[in-house]
Amino acid sequence: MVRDSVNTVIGKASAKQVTIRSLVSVGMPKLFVDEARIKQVLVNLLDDAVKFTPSGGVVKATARMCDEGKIRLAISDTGVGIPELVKDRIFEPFNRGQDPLLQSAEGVGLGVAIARSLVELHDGEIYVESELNVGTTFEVTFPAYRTLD
Amino acid sequence: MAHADAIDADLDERSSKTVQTLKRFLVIFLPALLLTLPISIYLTYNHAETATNTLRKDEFVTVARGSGTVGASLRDAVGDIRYLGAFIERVLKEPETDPSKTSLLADSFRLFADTQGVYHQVRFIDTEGYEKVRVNFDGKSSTVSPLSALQFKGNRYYVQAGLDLKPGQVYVSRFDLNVEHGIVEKVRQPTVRLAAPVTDGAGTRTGLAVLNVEGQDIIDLFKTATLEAEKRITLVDQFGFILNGEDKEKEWAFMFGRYELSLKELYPRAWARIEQEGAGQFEDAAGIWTFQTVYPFEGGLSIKERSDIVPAGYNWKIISLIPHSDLVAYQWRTVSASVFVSIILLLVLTSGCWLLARSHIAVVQHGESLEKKVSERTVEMRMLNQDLNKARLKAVEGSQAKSQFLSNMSHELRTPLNAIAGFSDILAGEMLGPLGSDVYKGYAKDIGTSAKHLTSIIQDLIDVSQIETDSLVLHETEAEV
Repeated sequence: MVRDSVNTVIGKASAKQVTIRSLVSVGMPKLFVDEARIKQVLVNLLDDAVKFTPSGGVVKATARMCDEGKIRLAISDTGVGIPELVKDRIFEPFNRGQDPLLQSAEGVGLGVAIARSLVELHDGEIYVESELNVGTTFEVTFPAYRTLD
Repeated sequence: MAHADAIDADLDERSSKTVQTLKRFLVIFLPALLLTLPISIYLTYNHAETATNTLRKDEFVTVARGSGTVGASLRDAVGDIRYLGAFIERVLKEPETDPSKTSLLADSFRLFADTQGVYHQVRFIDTEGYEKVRVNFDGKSSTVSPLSALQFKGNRYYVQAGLDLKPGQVYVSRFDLNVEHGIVEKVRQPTVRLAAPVTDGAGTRTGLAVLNVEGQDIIDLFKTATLEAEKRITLVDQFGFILNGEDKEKEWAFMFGRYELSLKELYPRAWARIEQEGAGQFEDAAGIWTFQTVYPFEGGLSIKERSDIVPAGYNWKIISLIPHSDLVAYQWRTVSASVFVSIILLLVLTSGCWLLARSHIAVVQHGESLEKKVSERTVEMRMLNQDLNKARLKAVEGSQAKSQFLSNMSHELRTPLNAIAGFSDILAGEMLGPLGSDVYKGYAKDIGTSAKHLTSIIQDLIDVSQIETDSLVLHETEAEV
């Protein structure tokens, strides 16, 4: 799913001269999820990452196991970052923060909101960490019982 | 206006509350009053009755005490006059000269007056009514009246009555005031005169022995014995003339010709009953009469002697009249305390019943207002529930309409957008031949990009709406990370 999603946006990234990489740990178990919906989540996040990362930047999609058998997917970029004030509000529909820089970019901001809803429908969690002009990282975690050995 | 109406309503409510309280008060108070009033009236009446009975009894005792002191007051005098009469007879029989006999009599009279101490005058009066020997006693010492001071007493009733007596008989005058020279003495001197005839041994009447008994002593004794009833007790003679009493105008009135001031004239019916019954107690319009008849010679003579020697029926009466006004005042004095307590208790009862009624009404009204509030709240809640139900139905309907609208729109929009995207790809790819200008080709590409973007936005909108209406269904399968 991670590679497929990265492949979906790789054209857009290369056109913008943004490097995009996927790093999936070896021996990852399979997940019991709606594959199309999780791909939608990843594509949305990757799309936004590419969109807000200037030329020469790097977007990374990683997947790895973490504590208690949870699966963590992360999309990080070296983009503009999200101001602290609006960080919590980006998960609400039609809200991309009041930053004119963000507002100028295309899209109406449904992507992140839909992503959160879809993750939560899978009993997962989604977090964002961001630093202005350094980059943003979205982390999506699925519970252990979603894994299949 | 609304404000005024509210005030009116408030007033109405208050007045109705007062009326309710009043009704409740009467419901509690009237039975309590019906229960307590007869009891307290009965007790008060009983109290007054007992007081009256006590008063009656006490009056009887007082009258009896008076009669005890007065009853025997002339007991010794009868014997004394008889002795005096016999003594004069004995002296006159002696063949001595007249002056020496007179001086012997005078000396003996003085001795007699001094030793007895109760006779103001000791006299010998001749058959013509002239005083022959007279000794006056002022309570301390006696004096012999000189010849010049001797008076004619033939016109006095007791002299006339005394001269009519048979030998051995005694005349007792009525109890009246002393008269000198035909005039009542200025300093009233109550007196009873006893007279006994004197004969010469052959049966011829020679004169009259007369003793004046000091009446003030009798009256003083009477007054002391009846002091507690002094305002209502009187001593009267057998004709109803008042000898002693509270009203000084009526006292001795017969001596001054005012016979109308006798009990016989003032209270003829009561007097008739007193005369007839002798002793007793009765009540009439004037008040309560208590009376007893006393015979002043009692104890001194046997009954037979009395009827032979002294005037028949000679008596005095001790009479007390408790006027109704006094009786009522006395009863009131006795019951006033209990009446006062009754009134206080009645006031306490009244206020207690009022408080009880008020708290009862308050409780009832509070209950009513609670019920009213509960029913009002129930109605309110029902209406709220109805509103909520309506709102819920509307919301469900709205949500369904929104989902229906979105799915319709997405279908209606995606179909033409797909066509636009597809045809713009064909144009941009110059599948049916070159467009002739690269600008056109660029436009065709832009159209395609825009159409795809629009499609993705629509897809996002559908997703959002599905998520919000919980109608998004996951198709979970195994998937490689």
